[in-house]
Amino acid sequence: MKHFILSLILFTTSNFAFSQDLKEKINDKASFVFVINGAVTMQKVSTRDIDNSSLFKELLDEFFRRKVPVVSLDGFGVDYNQSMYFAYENDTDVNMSYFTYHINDLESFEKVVKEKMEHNGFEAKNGLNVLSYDYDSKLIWNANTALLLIADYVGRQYNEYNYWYDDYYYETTESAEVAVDYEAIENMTQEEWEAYMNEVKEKEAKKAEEERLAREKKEKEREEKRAKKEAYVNSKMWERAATFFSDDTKTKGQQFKGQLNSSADASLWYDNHISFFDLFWYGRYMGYYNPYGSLFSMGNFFNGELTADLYLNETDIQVKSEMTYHGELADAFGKIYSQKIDKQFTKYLSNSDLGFASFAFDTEEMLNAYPDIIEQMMLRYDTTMADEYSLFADLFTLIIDEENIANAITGDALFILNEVSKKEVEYYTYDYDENYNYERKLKTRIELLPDFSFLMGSKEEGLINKMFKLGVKHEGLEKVDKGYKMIDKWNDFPFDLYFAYDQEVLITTTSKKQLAQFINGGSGEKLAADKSKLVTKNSGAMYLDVPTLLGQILTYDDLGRSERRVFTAMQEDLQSMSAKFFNKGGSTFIEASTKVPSTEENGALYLLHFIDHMIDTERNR
Amino acid sequence: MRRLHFILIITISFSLTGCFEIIEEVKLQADGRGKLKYIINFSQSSSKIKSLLLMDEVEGQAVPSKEKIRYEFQKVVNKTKNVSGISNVKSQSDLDNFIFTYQCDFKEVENLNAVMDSVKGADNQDLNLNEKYFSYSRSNKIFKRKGDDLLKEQYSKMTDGQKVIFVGATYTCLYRFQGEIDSLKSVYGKMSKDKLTAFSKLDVLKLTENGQYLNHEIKLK
Repeated sequence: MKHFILSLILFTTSNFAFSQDLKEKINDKASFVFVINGAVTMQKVSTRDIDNSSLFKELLDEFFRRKVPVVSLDGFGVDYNQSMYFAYENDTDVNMSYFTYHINDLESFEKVVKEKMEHNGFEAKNGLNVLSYDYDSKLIWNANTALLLIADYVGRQYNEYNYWYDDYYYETTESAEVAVDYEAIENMTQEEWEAYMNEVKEKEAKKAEEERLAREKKEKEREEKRAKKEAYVNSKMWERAATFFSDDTKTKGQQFKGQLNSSADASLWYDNHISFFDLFWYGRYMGYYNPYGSLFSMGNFFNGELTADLYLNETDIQVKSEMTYHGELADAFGKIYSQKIDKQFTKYLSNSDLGFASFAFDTEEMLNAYPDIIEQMMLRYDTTMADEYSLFADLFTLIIDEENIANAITGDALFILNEVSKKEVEYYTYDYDENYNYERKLKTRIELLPDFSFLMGSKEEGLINKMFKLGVKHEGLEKVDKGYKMIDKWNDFPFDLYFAYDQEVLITTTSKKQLAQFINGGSGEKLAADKSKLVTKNSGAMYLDVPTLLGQILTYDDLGRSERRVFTAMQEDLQSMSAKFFNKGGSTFIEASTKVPSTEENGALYLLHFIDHMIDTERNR
Repeated sequence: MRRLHFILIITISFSLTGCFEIIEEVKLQADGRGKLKYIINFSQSSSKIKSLLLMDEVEGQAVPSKEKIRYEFQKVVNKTKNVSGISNVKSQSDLDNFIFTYQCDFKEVENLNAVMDSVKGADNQDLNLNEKYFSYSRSNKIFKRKGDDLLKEQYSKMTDGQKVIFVGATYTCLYRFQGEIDSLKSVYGKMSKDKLTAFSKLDVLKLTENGQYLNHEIKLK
């Protein structure tokens, strides 16, 4: 009996250790975590489905090139039925990103990694196996868990290039310019000239030698720093690996506490202390974030914690995301997104439109909230400038007339992709006679161009009409029907542009036909209930009829063979897509979906088959 | 993944493909003097160029403004004005139709080598500037045009998305003489009915494979 109980305890604990959720290994410094819930997805798509797929063969081919050591997914020794995580953790001087997953067949796993990485350094240390690809990237594993760890040194102490201007850009081998007295040179005798030239050459040689020594000294300093950095990063990676493969994070209560959805096929968590859009600024500022440069960025409004879940369902594929805001943003957003789009906007939509995107917000509330939002955001980085931010907030409120701006821009906007159609465009080319004398000729060709419209709510009829009048006066606009057309001389766009103001809506469209239709009461048809609901019940909505769009593109005779083949394959597989966003309980929700064709069992198989179809299309060209 | 990458490129670059034509025309007089004219015509792709000009960046490359395009073209033109033996330099940039024209007079056809070199060297100082593109032997009455692999080299460094712009593009060579052509050696060359002009029209994609397709050897009577 004792033996039985002991065996049972051992079995349960070892099984627990084996199936321990790797989420507990992620620490609370993580700013980004992504999980693939294999247990959910592998119920929908079998390993055999994947083994037989073109995608798998393509990946094997790409990863292993000619020397493929496995022929099936199971051959990697990875436990796909458990969750796999990717995480990014911030620290003061070394940031860590890693991918971690469970191993269920150690022999197979080691066979694959060692086969692929035969030239890299392998070592066994503290009960862990390590393959080092570089000083800052290692694959570390024990009997049941693998960790691909990549470090990024962001500290200053060992940075080879402390400041962006202290680099090679300013280390040229060019000699310093010497002030030259041209008049004196012209009056020199031959001897004087030779002596002068010798002196110049000596100066240049001395200068070049000094520069060479300075460069060598700097390079030596850099090499020393580099060596120290590599040793430091290495020790930090071992430190992180040791913590990861122990229970330290959990016992000290330092584990990641963000929400990830275990019932979704994949789930993402991101803590956005800086705005999403500002991420794009990183590169432009040589790696140094500059919050002041984006003072007026709309991205400042998207400051919070984001979760997004992917569901590969039987009938559709869905992405559901939720943004919970930091600070007082939740209240501000509750007010900003309190209004829905004016229902009259739906009259401009037709069931045959290829797509649309709608947006509705309360302009006055947004302008009221904006200075506070900026102030709060800036104080996250630098509290020493609190007085300056406060002044900016006050000045903004003083200068901006929220009510009048809200009158001019009501916050309702609708973009419509009406159609993609063949249009005749003019161009010049050269024709030759029998003696190859050429003449410039104006010819026409058929091109595929989109027709689209943008409608925006505005109550400032007087202001808009004055702008139209001014456009006509300066010969930028001409009157057509009940609207205006931008004259070609002013129009740098590859399409015509028409404008009109009607029933508190500023209309911009590329089509004269659409302009007339909008002014005469809209499309004149009853919009499908699902589309109407999508637009009117949400703060924002998007819809794209992908098969029809591709169908219209495919009518273009001049489409290249490769393009035609790919677009035809896409048209066969892709379905319409829609998305919406709305605010509820202080959070903003964004949901996007596309239907799974009835011929497919579920979203996972549909995605796999679609990618396979694309690969096979390209393979058979 | 290479196949998926290709599909991605096809989808993205759908809007970038376009046609352009380049006409290279040399009129050679019996005394060796002559005229060079270049026409670079993007008119067929003007709507796509206009779309691109609305963007800040395409394929990681900054999109220049119309003014910048005009300025860069003029900069190259001005460089050729300093070339020995070159005179009467004229240029025109039609940025409504995206047609650029350049013409000059030369004393010797070899002067054009320096013109070509100055154009090539405008943005890249590492190029081999001593290559000969044009020559004319008055004693043998042989005119030669030699191609190089500059385009091939540049093409190999381009991304798949950038390479798409060469699809449908053509390069036309016109070499006109006062006397009749006796023989013409050229892969794609043709002779005019009056035998005073040699003509060839090449796909630019061909030149990205081998610049020697531009080679012409024309013997005059």
